[in-house]
Amino acid sequence: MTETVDQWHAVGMEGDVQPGEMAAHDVGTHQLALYNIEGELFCTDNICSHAYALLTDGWLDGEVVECPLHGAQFDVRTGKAMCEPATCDVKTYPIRIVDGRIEVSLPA
Amino acid sequence: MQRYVIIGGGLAGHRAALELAKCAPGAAIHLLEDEDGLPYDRPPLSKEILNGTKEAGGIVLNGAAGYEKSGITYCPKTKIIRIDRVGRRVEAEDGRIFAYDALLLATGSRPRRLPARIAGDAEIHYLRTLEDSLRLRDRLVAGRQVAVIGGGFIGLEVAAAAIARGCRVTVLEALPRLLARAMPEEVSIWVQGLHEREGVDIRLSAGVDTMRREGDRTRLNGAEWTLLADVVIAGIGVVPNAELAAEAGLDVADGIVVDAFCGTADPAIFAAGEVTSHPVAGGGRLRIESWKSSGEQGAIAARNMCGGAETFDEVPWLWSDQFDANIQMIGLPDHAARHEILGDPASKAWTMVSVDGNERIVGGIAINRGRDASMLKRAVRNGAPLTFMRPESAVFAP
Repeated sequence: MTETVDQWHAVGMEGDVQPGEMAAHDVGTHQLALYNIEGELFCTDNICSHAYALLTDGWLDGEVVECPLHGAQFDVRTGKAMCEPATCDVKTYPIRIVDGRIEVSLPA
Repeated sequence: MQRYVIIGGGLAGHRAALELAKCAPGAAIHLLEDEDGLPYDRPPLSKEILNGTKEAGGIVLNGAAGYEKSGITYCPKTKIIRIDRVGRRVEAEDGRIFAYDALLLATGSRPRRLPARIAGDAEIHYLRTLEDSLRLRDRLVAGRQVAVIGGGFIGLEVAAAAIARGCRVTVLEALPRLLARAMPEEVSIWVQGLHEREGVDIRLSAGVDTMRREGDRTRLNGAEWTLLADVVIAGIGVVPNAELAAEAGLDVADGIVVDAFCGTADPAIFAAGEVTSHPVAGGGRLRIESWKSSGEQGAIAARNMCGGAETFDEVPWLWSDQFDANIQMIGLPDHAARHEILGDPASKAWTMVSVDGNERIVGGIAINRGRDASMLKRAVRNGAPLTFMRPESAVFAP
């Protein structure tokens, strides 16, 4: 049985995502959303848990991202669904900066 | 111990029950519902359930499975036939009595039906309940000719689902354009283009005069046309289930009349959701058919039943998903002095912003522009000027 190990993937350079902004980045089949909340970076799945839509096509207000299709809101720091129609949280991934590179840890 | 009774297990009643459980933890809460099964979400009934991408188990409202743990007694198959305001009790058809200290009416709406002189002996599908949706889905078989009476949101969403299932679809709209009741003309034209590109046969100014069975099929006749269909669906509006309130002497005028606190003239009776006629910002009152509004109003009514004094003045907002299009309407574009279009209305994505006489945004419609929808919600709430949506036109003082 193979052991799966999380791996760090480079998704951009520091400065690619400015405070108050979010950006989409795909790694293989993972569609990711990167957020810069007052200088701190966070990462979630980019697909809304309610219907197929990219959160990065929506609206970021503080630490809450609103899905463009039906207004579901998520706290980007924890992935927690904040309001209907979302009932499931979105997945979050560890994110770090190494030598000026933004890296996200994804399951292999 | 406080006794709360809610009549209606739709979105408003469900949200109210959960909210009551939060703000009145020791109270007795009864949620009474006509239908069988747990409360479920209605928007998928004309979309995912019909096109087969979701099943009944997937649309149960969040929190409904945990009613008992939250202290909510849920009573399905409970049809309430009378409210005794003096005795503060409601009576079910089967004789059960539920006493209350505070009562919430969240009875929603039922589909408007075609009059008998038009419908004749025809079998017509109306869409309101999960049962309706599952029954209709079984009939939407590839190759069948489907007639949709009504070019409003329901009719158009059903048309899209029927096309997805391989049916041939004709939409019959009595007025000269689609979505005439809710939308401005530019949107009607765009939506018609969308449906026609997907193969829907749209007939405008095509009111149905008579219908009758012809073997397994249905003959529909208009002034200058006739159609033979295998399946007929009618989406011609809804009627508020306000009879219970009217018979109890409560004020009813296109819905149960409530104040900004979701209260009726009876201090022990509140109402929330689609069944209500409530005050709206800017004056006047409306009966709004919107998912978001129903849930919010249910929650606010519940908090007010526990002694709160919150006004329900939510910015109206609704969505409609048809084929791959997402249409969102925010605020009250009807109340606008004029509309401004952002983007190209002949393209796949554009936005209409509606402003009042002072160029303040009162509403808008976002066609595949969800970000604009989010901005419009904030704009309407804050009374923002048009430049909020169109920053390039802002004038900067020297």
